[in-house]
Amino acid sequence: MKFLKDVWEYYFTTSTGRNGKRIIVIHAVAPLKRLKDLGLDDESKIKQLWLSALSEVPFLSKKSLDNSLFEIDFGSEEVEVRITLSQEDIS
Amino acid sequence: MILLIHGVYLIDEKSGTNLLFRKYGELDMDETLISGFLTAIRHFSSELKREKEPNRVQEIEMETYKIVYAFEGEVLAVAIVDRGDSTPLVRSALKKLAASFSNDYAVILREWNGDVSIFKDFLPKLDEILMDGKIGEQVKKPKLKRKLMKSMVRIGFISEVAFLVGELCDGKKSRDFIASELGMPLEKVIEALGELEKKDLIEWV
Repeated sequence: MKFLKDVWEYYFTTSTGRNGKRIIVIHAVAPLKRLKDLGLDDESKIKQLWLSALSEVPFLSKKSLDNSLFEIDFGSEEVEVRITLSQEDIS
Repeated sequence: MILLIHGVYLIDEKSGTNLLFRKYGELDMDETLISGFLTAIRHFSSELKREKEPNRVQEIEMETYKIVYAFEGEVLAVAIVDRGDSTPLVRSALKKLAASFSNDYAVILREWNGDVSIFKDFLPKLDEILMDGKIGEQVKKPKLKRKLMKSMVRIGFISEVAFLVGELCDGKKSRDFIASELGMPLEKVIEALGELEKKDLIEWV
């Protein structure tokens, strides 16, 4: 997989978190079968994939990734991922 | 060598869809991922510098990079540039870019089916407007950080060519001007500037 978009469908939303801080949320969905074919069959591998891709984004600091909230839901056919980043960590 | 623009995105402002992307330089970018961020970050209005368009983002400064935005019609042109680079110059180029793209594709965009491949034909024009991403070289000029000495050449610290080029690096002359002044091919001047840069003897101002 060269790019995330080759497997994942994703979009971004912005919001304000409970603590009043502004957040960016990445919502991503991928077919479970496709992920299994790629050997991405557990949460840690999927998390690693996303963090690796995000680490290539030039304006995302290591701190922003360390502080990110990673959530994953395994459905019967799809895997859904939500990554929440605090706007103040983006620099 | 300096490189002003790392990457440029033309984004459909309404949907946030990345219509066209051009990468210059070596930053490895997942274009879709980054365009998503660029659109999302734009929504955080409080940190924005506002000029004539009060509700629209002009520029966001990050720690190392700067994101510069320009709008025309429904098209958002965004560039990732080094933080120290000239925003007015980039904005001006981006505005021209967005206007040109809007003009060329206005009719198509009205009934666009989502196929971004049709916009690839615009890449030559994009490169021309942004001078292959080197538009900043119009303003940035090399300046010596310390005086060069002939002994640097004698001991092999720098080449004779680098010495000659370095002597003209006063922060006012462009590399083209230096090449013409010395009657030297531009490539040779670029190479010499690269050598001086590696030795930390020049800066770009």
